[in-house]
Formats: sequence, structure tokens, C-alpha cells
Amino acid sequence: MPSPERPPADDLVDRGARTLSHRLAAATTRRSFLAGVAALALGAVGAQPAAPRPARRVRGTARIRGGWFGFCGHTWTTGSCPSPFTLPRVDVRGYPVRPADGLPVDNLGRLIDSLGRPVDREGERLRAPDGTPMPRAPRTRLCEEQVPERFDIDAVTQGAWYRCCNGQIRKLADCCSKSRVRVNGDASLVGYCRPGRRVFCVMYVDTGVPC
Amino acid sequence: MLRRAGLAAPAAVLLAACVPAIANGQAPAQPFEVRGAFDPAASGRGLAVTRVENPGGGGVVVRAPGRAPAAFPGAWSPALDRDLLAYLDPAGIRVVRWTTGEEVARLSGPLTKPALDWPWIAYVRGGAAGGGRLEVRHLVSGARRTVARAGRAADLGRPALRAGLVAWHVAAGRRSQLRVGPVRGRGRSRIVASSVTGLQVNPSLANGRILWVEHTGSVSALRLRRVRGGPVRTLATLRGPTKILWTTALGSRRAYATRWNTTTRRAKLISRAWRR
Repeated sequence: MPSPERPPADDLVDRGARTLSHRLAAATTRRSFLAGVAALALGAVGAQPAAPRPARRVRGTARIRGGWFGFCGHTWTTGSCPSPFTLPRVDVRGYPVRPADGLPVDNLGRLIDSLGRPVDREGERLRAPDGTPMPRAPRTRLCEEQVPERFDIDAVTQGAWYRCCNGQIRKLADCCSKSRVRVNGDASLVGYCRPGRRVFCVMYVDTGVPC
Repeated sequence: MLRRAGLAAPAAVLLAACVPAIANGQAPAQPFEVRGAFDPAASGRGLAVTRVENPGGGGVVVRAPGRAPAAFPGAWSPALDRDLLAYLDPAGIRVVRWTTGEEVARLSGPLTKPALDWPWIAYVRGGAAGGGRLEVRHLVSGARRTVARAGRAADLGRPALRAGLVAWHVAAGRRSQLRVGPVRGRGRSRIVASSVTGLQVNPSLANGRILWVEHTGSVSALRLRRVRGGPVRTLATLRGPTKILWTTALGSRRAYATRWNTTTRRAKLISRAWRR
């Protein structure tokens, strides 16, 4: 029997494995893992590998202050849903908003007015160099519309969990798909998705409710 | 009217002159609140561009190998076809032989975004604030045809005209399309690229290729492919959202695009070799 002051050996092993898996998932993609295996194999036979491509950092997988991944409240390594900004902030209906202040933006990350027209900080129409107004761009839901077009998979927002971030309640949501590969490029996890679906990417809503 | 000198004072006079023209539904205001070079037009190895060195003063500059540069103060939105140049001025569209300055044609009215492939010219009628009609016109016979229409909520982009084909974009908020159709006859246009989440804009045609800008997320990319189909090449990318790629031009060896900063309102021309 282990003493009550010291954690059991199984717990230590579990914790070590969990930390290692976090590190691996945050720092590598499947491609970089395979590149490492290939480098070992080539080294064994004395061959020179081709120059490796730099690993693509998946948004939302880097460990940040507080022990989160990518953004406050995110506890696992699935990457962020495709967004015009680094942070996948959406409004309550799943449409993109600017992470800094929650103002609505179109799919290109431009501030928009109530008619969906791109505007500048003062609310004036954005103009092309020739003086004509810039055209409207689509504003579509990150999970239900942008993910299917960019990754050719079905996707729906399902699971949600809540954390206290910056003094307000943050709702984190799973974008769930039948795909067995997540946005990171490796195997997807079950997470909070309903049976038959797995987590493809994650996003969040800042509710404004103090905590 | 042709001046090879610098682009300066007359533009301010023209700017003042065009204000009543806008009120009468004539050509739109000239865009000289910006700085830099933008809206390229190419033909072979010749290149025309709107260049603004000082706010309030600017014009179109044409350069071609072995020829002296030609400047057209107070002009903007050029289209080039060998030694012919079409551009906008406060009265409408003017077509000149840029090597001599001889005026070849003049079209008045609320016309914008000319594209030239002699004897055809394409332009957008009444699209200064979005919407409008894309028309093609035979400059010798005067025959005119409406190629596309758009409501006020949609944008008909700067068209391209080459080898009997006209290309344009339609950006209507929920969808964005790049279309190509025949200049003559009633043949149907076809979609070259489309998106319901991004924006495909400002095509150019040359040598059987189509060049355009694609905005996806905060990235804008300069894309090239054969008009009849095939793989898409990416010639340049830029991460926004305040810095974007905008209008394009396709020469015989190089592709050009406007790099536009929507915050500082500075424009710059970039070019990439697409054929060695």
C-alpha cells in the first residue's frame, strides 16, 4: 500500500503519460511525427534526408499561461476552428466576431455594418484604391459553413462547456464531425460530441455574464 | 492632351470639375485620396498603372520596353491593348493611342472599370456604389450588349477582356463567383471559381489563362489557371485583414496585383513571373 502522502505509482505513470501526450499533440502534427520516424530510419541506413518543411503550427494547440491550450478555458489539444483571427471567437449563433471587442466581422475579418458592408474603425465604408466601395464578403458560421467548405466534411456545433475567463463566463464549443481526422491533421477525439461524431475543432463565445 | 511630364496640378482642377458631374449621375469621383500605384493593366510586356505621388494629384502611367513612358494626368482605372489605352476621366471613358495621344474613342456617362480588347470595350454602367450593368460595346459599329446585371447589394467587379472572352466577378454577400463568357453572341457564361465563405475578385485574362485574387479567412492569394480548366497555381499570398491583394493584370510573362492597405490607404504594385 502506498503511503497517503505519496501518489500511487499508477497515478505517476498516468500523469507522466498525460503530460507527454499534451506536449506531443501541442508541438507536433502527424506529418512531423512521421518525419521524425523517417529521419531515424534514414539515419540507420546512412542516407541523407531531404530538407524538412517547417512544421505547421495548428492554431489553438500551443500551451499558454494558466495551463490552457491556445486560449483561456481550452483544456485539450484540438486546434481552433478556421477563423480570420488567431482566436476562434464567435457570437451566440456561431458567426465570427473580433476577439478583442466582440464586434461583428465578415469571413475576411473586416468590421461590418448592419447591412454586412465592410467598414473602418469610424464606421465609414471601406473603399478600394479607385474610390469604389469594397464588396461585401460572406459572413458564415465557423462550424456549420466554413468548416464544410474548407475541409469537405459535415460539421455541427454540439458539445459545450464553461469556464471563467477575464471575469466573465466563457462558453467553449466543440465543432463535431463524422471525420476521424481533426483540424490538427491527426486522429480526432470523442469529446462532448454525440455518438457517431468526433471533435474536429473548437471555438468559444464570451457570454458577458460576470463570474 | 497627352503630357509626358509629371502628374501634378491639373488633377486638382479636374477633381473640382468632377463634383457637379457626380451630382448629375456622370462618372464617379477620381480616387486620388490614396498614395501609391494601383489598378494595373497589361498587354504583352506593356504595363499601365494608376500612380498617385501626392494626395490630390495623380494619373495613369504607361510603360513598355523600348518606349518612353507616357503619363496621363487626371486619369485612372486604365485598360491596355497594345498601343491603345482606355481610362476613366471625369467625363467618362476615353480611349487613346498612348504612343501619340491621339483620341480614338470617347464614351460619356456613369461608366466605370473599363477593359479593352480592340474593337471591344467592356465597362460597368452605374456601378459606382455597387450593382450596375456590365456591358460590352463594339467601338466601330457601336453595337452594345449587356453581359451581366447586379442589384445594389452585389458588386460587379473590374472586368477583363481578351481573345473574345469577357471575365468578371459577382460578389453578393452570401456568394462570390468568377465568371467567363463570350463577348459575341448569346453564349452562356460559366463559373470559373466560386465560394460561399470567401471572395473571388478582379480577374484578368491573357494567353488562355485567368488570374484573380481569392480571399479566404484573413489570407488573400493571387491565383492563376487555364481558362479551359486545370490545376490552380498560387503566385502570391498576403495575410490580412488590413493588407490585401486587389486588382490584377496578366502580361505575357508576369502577373501583377495591387497590394492595398485599407488602413493606411497606401497601394503598391507587386509582380510575379508566371512563365519563364
